[in-house]
Amino acid sequence: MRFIFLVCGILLAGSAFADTDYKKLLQKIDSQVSFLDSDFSAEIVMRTTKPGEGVSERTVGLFRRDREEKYVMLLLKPDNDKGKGYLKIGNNLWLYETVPTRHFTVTSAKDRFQNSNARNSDFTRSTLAEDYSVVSESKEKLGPFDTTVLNLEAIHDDVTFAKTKLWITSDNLVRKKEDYSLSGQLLRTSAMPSYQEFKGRFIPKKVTIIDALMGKTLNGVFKNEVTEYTMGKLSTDPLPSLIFTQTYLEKNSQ
Amino acid sequence: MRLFVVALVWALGAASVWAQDSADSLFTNPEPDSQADTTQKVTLDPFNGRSINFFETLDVQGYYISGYRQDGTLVSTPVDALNFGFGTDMRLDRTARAYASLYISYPTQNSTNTYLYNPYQPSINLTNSTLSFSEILVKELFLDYSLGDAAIFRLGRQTLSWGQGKIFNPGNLVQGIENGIAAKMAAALGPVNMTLVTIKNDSQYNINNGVSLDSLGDALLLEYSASQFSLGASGFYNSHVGGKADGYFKTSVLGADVFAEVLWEHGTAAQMSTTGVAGFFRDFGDDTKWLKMQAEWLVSGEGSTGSFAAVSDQNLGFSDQSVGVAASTELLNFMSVKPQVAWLHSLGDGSGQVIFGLVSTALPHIDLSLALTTVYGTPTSRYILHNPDTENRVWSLTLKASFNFDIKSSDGKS
Repeated sequence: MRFIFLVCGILLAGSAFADTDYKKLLQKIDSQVSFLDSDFSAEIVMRTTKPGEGVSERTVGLFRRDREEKYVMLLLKPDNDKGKGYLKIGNNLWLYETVPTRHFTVTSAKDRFQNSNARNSDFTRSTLAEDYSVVSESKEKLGPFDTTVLNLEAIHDDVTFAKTKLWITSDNLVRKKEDYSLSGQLLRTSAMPSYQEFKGRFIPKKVTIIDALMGKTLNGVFKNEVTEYTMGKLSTDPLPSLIFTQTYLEKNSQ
Repeated sequence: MRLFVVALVWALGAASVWAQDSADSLFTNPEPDSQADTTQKVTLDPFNGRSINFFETLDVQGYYISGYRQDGTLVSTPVDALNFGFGTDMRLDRTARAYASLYISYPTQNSTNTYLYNPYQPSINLTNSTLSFSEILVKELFLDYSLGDAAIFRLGRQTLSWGQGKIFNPGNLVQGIENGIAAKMAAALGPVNMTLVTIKNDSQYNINNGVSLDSLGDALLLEYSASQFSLGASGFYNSHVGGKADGYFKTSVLGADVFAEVLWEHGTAAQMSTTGVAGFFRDFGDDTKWLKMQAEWLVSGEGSTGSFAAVSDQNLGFSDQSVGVAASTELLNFMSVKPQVAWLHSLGDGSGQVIFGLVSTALPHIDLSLALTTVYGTPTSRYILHNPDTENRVWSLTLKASFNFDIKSSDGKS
């Protein structure tokens, strides 16, 4: 009987140790790409390819205040969409549209960003440690990278994807990511092969998102919808608090 | 059927495999990590030079509504609406902007907003051989001014809405602002966002001697958001209407957005009224939302004849409760069809309204809609007395087609 208790104790202790380790690893990954001690701004150039429908391009201004859970995304191009914007404060996310009338719509971080394959939540700070727990780990070679592959499951409902799989290099950077539904259906794959170092943090040079569900069969071959975006014009200069208001979006609307 | 399921599973599986293969190919020869180029910064002011834009819109709508009144009379009405809008958006520099949006409409009494389920427009007058348009009407006409990064001002005719309810919204203390003129100031006080509004709308506030300062309605909104919740407080005062104070709390619970809001009103004759509304929004589904649902519960102090301009003396308190549920699905998105359903019900007198609608956006610029509406209750109940259908039908079928076209032109920056 004592032996059983001893084995159970060792197993539980081992499990707790692993959980803590994983939590720390996820925290490290989050801290690599979050700016809790300053504001952050960048310009995102996004290109979405829809098979059979052509290519659309957008330029977006991203303004983040991670410590207050706020962001503003302002469309800069194309000219027809210029001034359209998103404002996120805490759990609230508003989309300000100008057509057919100028109005705010409550939207969700889980929704697609401007009909692309990116989600609104892709542009917030990373919160893997708060949102997921690790359920399994393996090692895998990904091109030239030796990676640790973590399978994560959401610990609450306020996440965009119920399950996710990360390919992480030894520098704690996520190089590849697969997002799944609760039933295990692959929804999309994201690749971040290279990063740019900026003020001690790391920002992907280019993110390629391949939608596993959206696409079209052309000449007998299924072509996935793909969204690629690059992030440039990075800055941690302080941003005026006024830009994190609905009025700022109203002012910059057409 | 079995073949279809097998084909669907194969297609999803194949799409996933291709997605994984395509992603792995990006790692065959990746660019090395490097230092970021920080020589440039993204602009905070996308419109930071002198520019002028012109825009025009044309919105044509046609309805055919047919249905029965409570006494069994069949009433069928064709309804149409035509709006031609035009305007300019001028910017002098990053601080100043002038915006004008004007329109003419047919019929002349037409509202600027036409809704699928509540077509308030009068029916076509078949005795007229020519169309009679309204004179030029002002939709929005305002001047923006930015005082550095400290505050943004807007003066003129403008739109604005407060309050958390999507079905019942008693917390909209700036109700009617779009029909008057107003001055608005927005500023951020640390983590608190502040909006201060002064509204001139005599008909809204039952004012006859409209030139005095006390004809203005003053409203203030303060909002604070933390990572897990948002709080807001607002107030309104006009010496002819009285005072109103409102507070709300909003958070997320089990993936649903949840809010609760309370409104207190104090009339000029010392009448008191309290109104509460609570609700949630939740969507279900990973990529395609198979259900989006909004539900709200209202404990109204407004009575059946309550209006913004007067605190109701028919405060029935907990005897006057209403519920509202609205739902839609994206399951038919592949056909560009959106089904929607809404149910409004007064617990006080057992009356209500149920609407089922289908909207098709398959054709460019053209929306086709079909709605089945029923209003139920006793002849003296709220939804029968205040039937949104001006023809008082209790069962009706609405067919609607609308065409929308808008164009912008710009001289660019100069």
